[in-house]
Amino acid sequence: MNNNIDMSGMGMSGMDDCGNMGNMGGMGMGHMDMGHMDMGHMEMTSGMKPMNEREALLWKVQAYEFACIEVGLFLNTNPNDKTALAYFKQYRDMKHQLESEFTKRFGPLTAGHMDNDLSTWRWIENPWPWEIGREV
Amino acid sequence: MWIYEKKLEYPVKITRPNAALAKIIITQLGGPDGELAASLRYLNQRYTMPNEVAKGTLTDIGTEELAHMEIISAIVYQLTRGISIEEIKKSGFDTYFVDHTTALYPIAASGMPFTATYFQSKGDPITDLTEDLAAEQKARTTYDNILRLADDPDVKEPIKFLRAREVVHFQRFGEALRTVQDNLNAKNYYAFNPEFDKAPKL
Repeated sequence: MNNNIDMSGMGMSGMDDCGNMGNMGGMGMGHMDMGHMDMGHMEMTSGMKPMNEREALLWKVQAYEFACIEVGLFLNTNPNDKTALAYFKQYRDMKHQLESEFTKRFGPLTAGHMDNDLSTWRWIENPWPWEIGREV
Repeated sequence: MWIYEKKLEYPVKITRPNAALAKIIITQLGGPDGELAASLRYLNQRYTMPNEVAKGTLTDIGTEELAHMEIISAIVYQLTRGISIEEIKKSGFDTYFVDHTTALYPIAASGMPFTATYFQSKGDPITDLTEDLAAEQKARTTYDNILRLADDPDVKEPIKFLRAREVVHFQRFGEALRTVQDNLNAKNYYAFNPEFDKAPKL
């Protein structure tokens, strides 16, 4: 599995106009330039605060999810772009894999996820998404 | 239908409360070019759209705007978490606090409560998609202005992400508008409304 998100190297046809894949509009998530980020060895640059394991894993899920959101929007208006379709498939698969890992270790992101262990109801457990940081 | 995912689209982790900044940024929750107005605009406009590209684009961008509303709410929540009465008075947040304490309520920075008059759902795809293009630009300008007023990098990073999304959405709406225009009837000199009128026979 290619674990490296490299948008710039995709060479997607028609994706080099302003505001799209070449520039991904936010693909450089914060201080982490997704264009050059090795997701397997997440680098914390100066602006990033230290993350615990949960936050670090969630960050990866968020990154893969974002890749799917972005390419999904592109595919809505360019539904026949084979490169974009392959890209969507690749990141969807990577996202699913990490969602499973996250759900098993830290509880569900969606209550209905197949890896949500239903021996207890963990869905309501803190932290909720807006609470990351000081109080939790 | 929608299913909640227990994560933000982009992480928000603010360590320095700043009620004055919260009072400004809340405008992207309930203000004229805010994320609530954006999501309601697109999700209401989508039903009568004439083609698949426009229906899909409005559904997905309208959904993403809900996630952006949550990011803005998380920023405002964390900026006002644990602040003292002294800070509330000094920052000017007191005029919000008196009505809402530190709960989230959709208003503009001026204090004007959210209203559906911020957007239209006109029932003509060229009219509506053109409004959507303008809406993305207006939101982008608002984020530019917030970036001029904010100096905390914890706040600026998610704001920069949201600003960049406006640019991408503008691009996608432009493409959706083109698909509608390309499929207008060639004899339709006066641009009939494909959400309502039957196409004249060629």
